Amino acid sequence: MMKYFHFARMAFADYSNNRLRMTTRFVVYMMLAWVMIGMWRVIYATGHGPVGISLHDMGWYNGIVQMMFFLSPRLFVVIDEDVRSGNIAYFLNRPIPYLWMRLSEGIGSLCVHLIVFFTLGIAFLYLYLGGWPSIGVVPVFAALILLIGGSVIHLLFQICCGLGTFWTDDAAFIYNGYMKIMLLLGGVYLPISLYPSFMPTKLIELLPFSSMVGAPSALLIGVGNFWEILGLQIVWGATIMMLLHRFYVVCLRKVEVHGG
Amino acid sequence: MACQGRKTCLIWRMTIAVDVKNLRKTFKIRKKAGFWKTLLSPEYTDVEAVKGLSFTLQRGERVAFVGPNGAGKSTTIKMLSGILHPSAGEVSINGFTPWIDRTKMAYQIGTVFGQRSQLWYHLPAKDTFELLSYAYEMERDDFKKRMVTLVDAFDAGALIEKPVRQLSLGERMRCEIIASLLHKPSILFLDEPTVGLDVVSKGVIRDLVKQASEQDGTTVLLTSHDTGDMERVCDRVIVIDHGQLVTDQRVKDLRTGYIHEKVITLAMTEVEIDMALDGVRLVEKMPHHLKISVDTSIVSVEHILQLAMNKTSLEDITVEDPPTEDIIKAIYSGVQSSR
Amino acid sequence: MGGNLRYLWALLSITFKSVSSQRGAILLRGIFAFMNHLIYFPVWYVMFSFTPSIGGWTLQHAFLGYGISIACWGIVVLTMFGLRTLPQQIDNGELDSYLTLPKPVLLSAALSSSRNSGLGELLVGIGFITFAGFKYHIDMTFIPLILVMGSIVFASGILFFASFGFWLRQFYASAEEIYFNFNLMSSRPAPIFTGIFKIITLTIVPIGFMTHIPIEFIMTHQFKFLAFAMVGTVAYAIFAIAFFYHGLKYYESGNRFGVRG
Repeated sequence: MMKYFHFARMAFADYSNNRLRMTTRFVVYMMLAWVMIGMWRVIYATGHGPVGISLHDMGWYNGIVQMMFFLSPRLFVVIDEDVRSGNIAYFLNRPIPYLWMRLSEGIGSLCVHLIVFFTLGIAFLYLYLGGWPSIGVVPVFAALILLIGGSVIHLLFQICCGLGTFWTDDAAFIYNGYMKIMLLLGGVYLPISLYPSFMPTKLIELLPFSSMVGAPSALLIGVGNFWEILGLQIVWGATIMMLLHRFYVVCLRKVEVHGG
Repeated sequence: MACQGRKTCLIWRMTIAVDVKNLRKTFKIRKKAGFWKTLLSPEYTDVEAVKGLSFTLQRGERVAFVGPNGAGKSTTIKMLSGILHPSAGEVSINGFTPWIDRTKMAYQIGTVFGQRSQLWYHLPAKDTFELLSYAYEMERDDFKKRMVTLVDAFDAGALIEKPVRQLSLGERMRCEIIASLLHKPSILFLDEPTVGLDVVSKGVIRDLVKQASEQDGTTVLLTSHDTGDMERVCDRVIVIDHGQLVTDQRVKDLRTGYIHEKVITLAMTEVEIDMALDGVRLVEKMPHHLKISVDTSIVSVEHILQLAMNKTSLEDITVEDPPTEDIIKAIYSGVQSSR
Repeated sequence: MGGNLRYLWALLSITFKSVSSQRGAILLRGIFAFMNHLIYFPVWYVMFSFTPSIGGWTLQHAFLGYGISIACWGIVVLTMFGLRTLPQQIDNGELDSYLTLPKPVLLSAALSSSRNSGLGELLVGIGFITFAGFKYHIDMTFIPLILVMGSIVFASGILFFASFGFWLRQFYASAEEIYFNFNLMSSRPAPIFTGIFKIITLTIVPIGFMTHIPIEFIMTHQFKFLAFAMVGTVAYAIFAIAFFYHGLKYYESGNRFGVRG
């Protein structure tokens, strides 16, 4: 297990050296959060804001939702590159499975973002929105803890997308497809509890996407239970890990490397 | 080369393909410091990569540009091909100044960078050739004839139909050189064209480049670490180190200039003989076989052979020049010891 | 000029050829692209079932905006994917071989690669626009022009941000974030962007010229909006190209790479 820690540690050191990438990411996050909160500002201004949820709290919801997508590194790009170049083959004779090696590195990089976004990101939201959510500061920390779990599951999904390159030669559009599913089933644009009645919200809340992003953020508007969401994350995380391992074994049969 | 008389000078100038005068290149390298210092007030050091280089290439000449790592070879060739702007100096490539007349000059030069490819990866090389014919505005008929000629000469008929990603390095390099010769450039710049190739592929590439140059009268400037490239392809060698010219002479004169050595291999009837003498160094010793290196400034080859024949009956004698690598090493160490 | 146009045509041909040589995945990618963009239908329906408009921006605006942004993304990916990989090309010194050709470096770099997923995106974008046109009885006459203009704006935006790669190493990952969110924001309702952000959408990140103003023209038929969008498109393209060549001068100084060989 220690070797995974060291891979994560190396990735942490490498990632934290790339300050340009971190800065760009944070700036883009601020712009997106601003855009989404701005959208709700306009909705509330025209009198269509949801009853029982203030603009202030909706701003926190959107800010935390957007943060989830910026916490995880773009691991699918690394795996896509490894598969397309055939480099993945050169990792196969190491005493550490490629899959878990990349996951460890992803977690190491994730830790860098956790530090940046949990400090600067929360500070940005606090200053921009003018205070903590009306429910208090404790749910903010609870949501952040759940975002960590959500980010790890997001990494697992990214690995799946990256391995899809074996069939499609390009992981980017698989990842984009997955992100679109997240938009709808993760409650990114608005809380799932506000979805229209024709949407099966009870089912959506049981899926992994909701537990990764929408459900943790919904704690800030007084919806959901921390332990239930955590339990769902653990169940889905374990399930996805097992399925991912099976998928990886199938992918390895397709490894091709050209000679010099 | 000095001009003698106005007419000679004029004729000489008309035969010059590449004229480099006092070429200099200084890079500004940012000093590593803390993040905020680097961002707000970065400091730079100047690194002089090329220091006052001067040389000329006649039309049709094939010249090797040799030097250790960091000597300034690639920097120089990039300045000559218009990729980099020099800090000072003059360059004339067929009358053009590379960094000013780059587009016009481009029609007259071809380039091959050994470590970078200009071929489209997923497509057969012939598709890249077609694209390049448009880049160089070749007439369709001329392009087709030229491609057939080069493909035949390089025996690349089957290769150009396969996607580049399926080619070996040697096959790819053949296609790269065809691509660089399509538009019949008068000057060809080759930056380490045989890097990473096996012995056989290297030989093929060298022979093809030399042959193509002889047929079309193409001037070739080739940078390489491989002395085989120098020996097999080029007539002349320019050695540089730390951005400065070390020597510029004909390949065959290089040996006599720097190393006064011959390697003598004797096959004899005796099991062994003693050849311990001033100026003689043992290279290899086996039963009935002796290989020695002779410093010809101390003792002559004739004297050594006479001595050997007095001691034993010789079945075979080989007298060779030392490997070119040793000559280049001697040149480098001569430069280093003079610093 | 004629030579450059023939070279451009040859580049486009070889780009499409390269794309279609990756046969195995075309169908799968096409299906994925189609499906993953279709999800925006329910997303926007859910959003607008909650509120009939966002500052005057309705569902028809949303479909048009998304259709235009994704079609432009597809056109750029299909024809000028090399712009997106420009930071990598700069890092790897790949511009060297373009500098030795007697053709504009930007042309060679921009059209140096392509992705066939762009075709799926283009078709989906056209599908969204056509759906909006039929459902809401919108005049589609100027759509081809708007798509061309939008693609130029988007390509110019990518070029501008990618050109930072001349000064900033390993900028590829950061640049990808920027392009992706540039395109994403272009499909967001225009009324959201006010004050300084409105200025940004008409200057550094000109999503205004890409979608907001063209949609305003389509809805109101006021030619002043089209004219404004055209001027903005040309101005931004000139700005981006000038910035690229400014960066290329730095590349040619060699200071980016330091001492080599």
